[in-house]
Amino acid sequence: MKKGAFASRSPRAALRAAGLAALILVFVFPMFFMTSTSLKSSREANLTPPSLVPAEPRPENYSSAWGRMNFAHYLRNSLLSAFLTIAGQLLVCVPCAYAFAKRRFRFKKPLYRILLFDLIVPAQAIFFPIYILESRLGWINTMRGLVIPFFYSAFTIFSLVQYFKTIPDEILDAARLDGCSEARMITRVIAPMASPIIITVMIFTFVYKWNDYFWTSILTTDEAVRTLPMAIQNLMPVDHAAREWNIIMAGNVMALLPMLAAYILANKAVKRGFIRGSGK
Amino acid sequence: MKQCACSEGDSVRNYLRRVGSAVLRSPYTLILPAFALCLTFSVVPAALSIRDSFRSVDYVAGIDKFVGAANYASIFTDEVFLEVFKNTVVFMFCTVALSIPLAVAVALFLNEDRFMNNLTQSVIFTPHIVSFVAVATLWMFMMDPRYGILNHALGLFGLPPLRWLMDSSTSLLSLIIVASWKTIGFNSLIVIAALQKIPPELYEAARLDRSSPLGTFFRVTLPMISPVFVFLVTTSVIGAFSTFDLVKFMTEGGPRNSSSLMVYWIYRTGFLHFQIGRAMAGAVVLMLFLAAVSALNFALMNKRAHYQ
Repeated sequence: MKKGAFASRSPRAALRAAGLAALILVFVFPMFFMTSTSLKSSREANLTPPSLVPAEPRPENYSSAWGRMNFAHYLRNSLLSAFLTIAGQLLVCVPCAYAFAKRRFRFKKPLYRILLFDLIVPAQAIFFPIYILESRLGWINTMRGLVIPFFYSAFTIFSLVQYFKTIPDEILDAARLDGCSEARMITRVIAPMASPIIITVMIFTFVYKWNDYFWTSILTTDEAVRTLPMAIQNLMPVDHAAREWNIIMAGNVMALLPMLAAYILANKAVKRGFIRGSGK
Repeated sequence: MKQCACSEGDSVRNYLRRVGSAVLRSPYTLILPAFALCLTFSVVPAALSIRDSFRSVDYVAGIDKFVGAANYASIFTDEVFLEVFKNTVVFMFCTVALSIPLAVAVALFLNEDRFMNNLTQSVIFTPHIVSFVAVATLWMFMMDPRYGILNHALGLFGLPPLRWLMDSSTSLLSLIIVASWKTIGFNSLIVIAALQKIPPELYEAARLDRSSPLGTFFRVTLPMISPVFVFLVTTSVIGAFSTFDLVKFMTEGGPRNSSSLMVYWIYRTGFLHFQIGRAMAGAVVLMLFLAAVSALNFALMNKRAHYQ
């Protein structure tokens, strides 16, 4: 249909180009503007009309943002919490998804329904009892309090189950006949065959954890364990006029770079994971 | 004697080994960690929310007593809560109505495998990986009434400037625009994935039937991608209902609660004003509403799926 509908006649080609340009403008321009502002002087950042490209690029904004945000400290916390969460999800969600996709057992359906509870009820609605629980456990302001609840993710389990179901049973049966244990089955058979979806959901977990502001602000009060979004918040004084947008944008760009790198590296896997795994 | 003990020890050891390997092989062992965490951090907190919504709780004064439906009566007669509830529903409908059809349009547009399309696909996905905090600060800067670039752009088209986040008539709209901007790329990637799974023979058949492009879209494309709508609508609705960061950063619910949403209201009521019973009643209303929307969504989609 596509080839027929969009034959390469010139008015259509022009429309196409205009459409692409509009999309890029809407989605890229704000990001471009963020980067360009991060290189302006604070006076130029507040000019009217705004300049698109900095008159004199000031890369020193980045070193200034790095120092004033105490970036290295928050970067360490962000990396630690993201990687611990990923490791935890691999240990908790992958075996669970394998059991639901490929094993038969009693109460499988009702148990799966309960496990997907989080897909219906957002954890944000029930944060208060979670906060109380963590404070009873003494987990407030600790890294374990910030990561252990997220070792379980309904979204991760659901995505993995959908994909694992597409792995042929014959392969698993053959492995079982060879006396393969469940641990080996998961690490040597399932994981390699399902690597696109595993990479995809782990990227999502990384993005989620890296960008999380809500849980960090609820479960921590101590800068010692807080992550990068809190560092940006610390750059936002209550007084609107005093905001140094160039420094804030430099902080935003720096916080985005690891995400961008992860996404570019995993771009192919993400697309493959989606195409086979999503939907039904 | 000796031999006997030995064989007994052996059988005990064998027995333990058999039990051990049965436990290791059991599917229940595989799901146990996830299940324990799900119960501890989702199911039990939800149950506690329901319980506390019928109680008056004050941890400082040590009060914890049953008050019946008083908290519900209190929030449903509270104008602020009612406005926040209305805002949340408007926010949800608008973000869903804006981001899903646009995502389908973008996906159809970018579906063909060309270099520029693949590049654009990657590019429109980037807002999804930017943190809400960065998105919020960036758009606050662009929406600044005095020197923001959006008002400058409006001026170029001869349109009057808006006060965006500072005006109670546009603050919610501003949040809707930002939230949709952030999710369209993600949604269209999912739709593209679904489009690529449609067997080409269906389009071939439609072409032989001389079906118009619009007819093909409604009779082939849309029914074939309808399963992903369940996923998209559910995630968008939940995303809309759990929106917090944007509100906290961009407007703090203002001006005069015009952009306050449920999670932010729960946070303020429970966390800042320590009215835990009322906050939990709000959380239960949110959960019920969400459950109803999800049930409706699944029912509608199942019907459609059977139909085609």
